[in-house]
Amino acid sequence: MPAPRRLFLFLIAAILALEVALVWRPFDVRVTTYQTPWRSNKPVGEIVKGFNVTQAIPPGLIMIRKPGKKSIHWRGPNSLRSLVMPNCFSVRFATYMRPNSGHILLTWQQDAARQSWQVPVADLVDNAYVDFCPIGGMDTDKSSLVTMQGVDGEKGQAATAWLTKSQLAPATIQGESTEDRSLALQLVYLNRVEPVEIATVGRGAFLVACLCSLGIALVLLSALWRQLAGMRATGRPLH
Amino acid sequence: MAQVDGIKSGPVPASGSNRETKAVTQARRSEGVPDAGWLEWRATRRTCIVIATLFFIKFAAFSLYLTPFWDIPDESGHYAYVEDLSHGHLPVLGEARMSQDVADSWIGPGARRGRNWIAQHPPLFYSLAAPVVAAVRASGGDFSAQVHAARLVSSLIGALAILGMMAFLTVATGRRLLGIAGGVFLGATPMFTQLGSGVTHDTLVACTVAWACYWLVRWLDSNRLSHALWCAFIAGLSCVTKITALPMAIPLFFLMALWMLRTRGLSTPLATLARIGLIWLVMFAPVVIWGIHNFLHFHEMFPNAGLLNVYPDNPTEMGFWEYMQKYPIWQVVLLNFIGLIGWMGTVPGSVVTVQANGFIAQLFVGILLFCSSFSILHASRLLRDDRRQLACLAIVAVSCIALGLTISTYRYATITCIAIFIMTAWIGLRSLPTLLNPSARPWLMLTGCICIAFFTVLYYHHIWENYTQIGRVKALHGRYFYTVMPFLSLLMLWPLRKGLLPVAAVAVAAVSLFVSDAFFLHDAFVMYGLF
Repeated sequence: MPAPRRLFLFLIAAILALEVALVWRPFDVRVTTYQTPWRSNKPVGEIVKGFNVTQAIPPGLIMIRKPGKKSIHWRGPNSLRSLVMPNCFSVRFATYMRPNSGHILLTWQQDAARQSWQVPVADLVDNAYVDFCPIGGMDTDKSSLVTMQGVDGEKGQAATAWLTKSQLAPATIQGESTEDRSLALQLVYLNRVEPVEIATVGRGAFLVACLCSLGIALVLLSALWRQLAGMRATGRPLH
Repeated sequence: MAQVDGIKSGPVPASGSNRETKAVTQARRSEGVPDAGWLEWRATRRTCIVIATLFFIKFAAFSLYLTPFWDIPDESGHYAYVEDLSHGHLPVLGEARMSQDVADSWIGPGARRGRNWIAQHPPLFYSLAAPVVAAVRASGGDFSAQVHAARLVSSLIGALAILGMMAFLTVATGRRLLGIAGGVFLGATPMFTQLGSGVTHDTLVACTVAWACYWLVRWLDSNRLSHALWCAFIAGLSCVTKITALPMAIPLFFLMALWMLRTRGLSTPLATLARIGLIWLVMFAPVVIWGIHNFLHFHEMFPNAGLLNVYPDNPTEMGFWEYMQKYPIWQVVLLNFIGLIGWMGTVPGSVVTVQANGFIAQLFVGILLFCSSFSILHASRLLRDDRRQLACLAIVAVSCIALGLTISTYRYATITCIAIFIMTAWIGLRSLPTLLNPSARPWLMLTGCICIAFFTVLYYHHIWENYTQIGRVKALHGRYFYTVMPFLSLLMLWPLRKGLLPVAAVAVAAVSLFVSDAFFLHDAFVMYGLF
């Protein structure tokens, strides 16, 4: 195959690869629908073996006011939003900025539904929220209970979670109420969007729009190619 | 004869005889110099029409299936205006109310029919959309079909705007690839895609201004009166699309008149003045008629929605310069130009928007910073030889990327706005000698700089004055700058005419398209609740 044709095919492949890389990869939608305020924070203490924290999540946690009452500036995936219902909750952990080891057992309970996650402490990032998504979703009209227990953490190598001053029910640490502090947490809507879902959004209209973008890019490429071919033929630089 | 980087383009002396003008133009064409841009455009216009058609299909796909109703800024008001006209009534500001259908669909069933603040605008766009809506209604289309029909008019006009932009930039720069890149880049901004998918007159402003600029550059090259009249006529249409076009049209007219006087050749002063008068008439008669219509109703030529007292008076002390220091006015305008997606389509009655952020903001702001910085260096005559040009190019590109990676989007936008201001002022100053020695391209640059400066100062004065009256920061919409967008694009693209830079511009435009699609997918569609 002549070199120019190979280059042309390579450029077409590059355009397709770019389109796939930017648009057609699966991605996560993460929308925060509720977040505890971030004030007067303190850690719950090292979550070592036998350490126990309990937090109730009351029903109807929605931060957005009623429609028509407020302008909402949507700042991308971390915005507050009333239109989606949360299907996950997130807890803000901290590592004391050191490497830790061991596990934390986190249990969520709502009516008869109950689910547990074993969190490897070594994987936690300092001050980052960790999402927990109960299978079957959460009913935000009902209260739920989150319990964290240290499984095998040792003092000096255990992680912690943040407490913050909020209107939520107070957290209970080792059976004692914190009175005015709750776990720092978020309620989030989390959804993995696969390419099939992207292709069918708006009855396939987005697919059509993407094909148009692709078509424009290919037309640009052919215009470019014709110009370069003319340049080669005449032996003149582009200008 | 003045010279701009190798393109010589002096005026063709106007004479009384059209045949003479044609002969001179023909002779100049045969030289292949002044009309190189026109030849480039002729050679590439089919490609551009294909691109514009693809943009139309893209906008149509968004408007029919993706953009929720009333998610384009003020869309309910724009549609209500179209609806009124389709019934044969010209809405009057303060009296016109939305139809019950619009109110129900926009706010919710049984909503009160609010007054239509959009009735402040001149009627051109609505006159174009009204027959289409009336035809759909007559053929039994329901409310939703009628709104979609009005949206498709806007989509078509958006595609024509991109075509106009490509035409203007190709003719003005003499490089087809640059023209195509400029048009595609405008179409790739999420804001333009969004506006092309809803009922709004902003796409018509962009369209008329782009085509007016196209005829302006054709006229500067040929000096044919018919070209000047086309420019004046389309600029006049722009003024009766949205009054924001007037601050562009006024300096444009004066510079056209000055060019005529400076290049009148053998024409008598009286004949030249007659031509200038004719251009004034063609350019301003429509907007004057609109002004008189307003004056009869309101005793004011161009009343705005302030008449409706939506915002209570709240006089606030604020200095002219202090305003832009206290609030990030220009940064917000720039980011909103790239994309401020949304209005009231997501939560009825609440404004929900997503501004360009993250990678897309960095990319688009970075491109604008690169072009404006390079343009400043170019206007400073620092890029005389290829080696220097390459070195400057590399330094500017690396600096832009480094800044984009290390500072916040707002600071990045601040630096870019400053670069754009300096570019406009500096190129304007460098083009001033053309007043003494008229030459087409420097004159075009000077016209562009003066139009941009005049528009920018008036716009800023307006929003500052508004703030001092109602105490709110309002109207920071980058789309207002569509009025001077062809000139801004020209200033930024002009230094990229050499070597393989047009190729790079085309590549960047293609990447911008994909990034824009990704922005809609990851931010706007999530906001719409599509996932």
